[in-house]
Amino acid sequence: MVDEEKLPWELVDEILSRVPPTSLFRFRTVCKRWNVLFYDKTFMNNHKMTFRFILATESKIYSVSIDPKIEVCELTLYFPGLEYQKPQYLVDCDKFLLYGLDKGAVVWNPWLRQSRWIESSEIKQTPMQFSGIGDVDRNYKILASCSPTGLPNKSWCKIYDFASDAWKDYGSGDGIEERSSYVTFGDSVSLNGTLYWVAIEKTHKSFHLACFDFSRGKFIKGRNLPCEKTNSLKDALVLGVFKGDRLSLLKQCHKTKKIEIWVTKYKVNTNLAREDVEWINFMEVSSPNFPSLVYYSQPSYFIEDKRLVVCSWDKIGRAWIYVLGENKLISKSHIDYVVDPWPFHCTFIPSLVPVPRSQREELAELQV
Amino acid sequence: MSSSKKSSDGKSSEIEEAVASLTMPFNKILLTSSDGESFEIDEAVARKFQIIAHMIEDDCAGKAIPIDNVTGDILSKIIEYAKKHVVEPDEDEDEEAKKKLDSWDAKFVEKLDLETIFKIILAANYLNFEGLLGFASQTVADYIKDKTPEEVREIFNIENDFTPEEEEAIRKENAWTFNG
Repeated sequence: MVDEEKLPWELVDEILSRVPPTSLFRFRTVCKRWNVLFYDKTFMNNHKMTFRFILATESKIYSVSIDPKIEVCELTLYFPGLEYQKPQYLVDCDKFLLYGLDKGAVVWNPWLRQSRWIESSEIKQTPMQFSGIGDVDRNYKILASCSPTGLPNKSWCKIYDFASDAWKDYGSGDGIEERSSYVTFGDSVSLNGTLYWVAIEKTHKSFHLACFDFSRGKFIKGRNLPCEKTNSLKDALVLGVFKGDRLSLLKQCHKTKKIEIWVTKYKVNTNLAREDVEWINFMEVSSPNFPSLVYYSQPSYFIEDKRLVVCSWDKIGRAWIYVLGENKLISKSHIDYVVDPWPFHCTFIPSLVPVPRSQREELAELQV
Repeated sequence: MSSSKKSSDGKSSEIEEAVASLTMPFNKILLTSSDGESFEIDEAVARKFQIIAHMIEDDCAGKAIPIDNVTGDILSKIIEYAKKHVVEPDEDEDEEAKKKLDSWDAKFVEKLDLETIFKIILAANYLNFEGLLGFASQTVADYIKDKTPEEVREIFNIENDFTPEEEEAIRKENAWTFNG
């Protein structure tokens, strides 16, 4: 005779959405259903300790949650030597955050409080910037690149493999990637283990979708993006993830301040060169009094339930959260808790995926 | 507080709730539990249970309402909580009152065993009493957070459907947590 479980599933969900993340991580072995739940984005979105943005100043890091109201929490990240380096960039890598500093980057899962320092190398005295984290069947890798000053049209790329804890040169061995025809613009978006960017084709100044496919180990340039050509980098043009398996594109024309959002009609894969990606117009907000979203850097945003939530700097470097929907601005709030100006920011939905270790470290664990 | 369970005119019932508690404090409602126990409560208190609030609005609440799914002992506890929470103090405006209420809440659950709390969760869900559902769920969440997976299975009566190898593979990933 099988005893019935004490509570129906929806009430167990209510309880689990209030359990702290480190406990949830431990509870993955309770049963298969719980294990699957902890990787469900809807569950993450509704968890009481969820958040949507990460902000980083020189001295502090914060998480920002939006529902039911805007709340800011200070996060702690301790790393030996962290205090002697300055934050350089912050990238949402879907399951992890890449917190870039002078000499490398920290791969971080704030919910699990796990972090790992990856040192970067220098090419001709120019430090490499980590572009993003992808994976091939859960073998995680980092793409790093740099374009040394004085060497136009040449960029070096290296790929870091977590399992072997080693760097490999991209391509034929000398690491040089001649992307003379196009340049990536803005931060990468990590989707299904692949990195996607907006790419600008240099001669025609047209905008394309590009990706780095870790399984084939190469860059692929796709067809045009659905936004008009523009010569201005004062326009906002930001790629994002939509509904977990599609891409979104936000554009704001700096003259009209009109915001347009397109989303891909279907799931995106890496066959960008051969297959056309179909985009559909998702949302438009026209408001002449709306501020520019670009002051020295591009905005970060996410889309949920027909709402667009944007984080960007104003002209004096304060971070604002704008909520738009139904073709108008619904609310705007200044994040005054963050005192230092010009904080780095990115979207991030918490995950319960552990920061990968090298095989060497795993074997060492087993021998203990 | 998000209100996925509120009706589409949740705003108007909020106003009605406030009006009811001011202008009709003497309107009584009789609730009868599944095992025949009766409880007479103010309409304002009864309205904390959305299922009853809807009945009152739709004019199909008689003087006596049978609560078929809840026994008397549990219903009395729920009514006790509802009476204390008829008016929720605003955290920002009345910190003192919020602290007092939190302290009362803590004492309220302290005396209850887990079985009872589960029954309260089921009943609060049935009655659509969001405040108590949230509070009781939080209580259970706090209780289980330091337990082992085995203990959690016992608490919820969940069957372990992992093979020992599968469980070991997942547990290996646990090995290095809390690293800064």
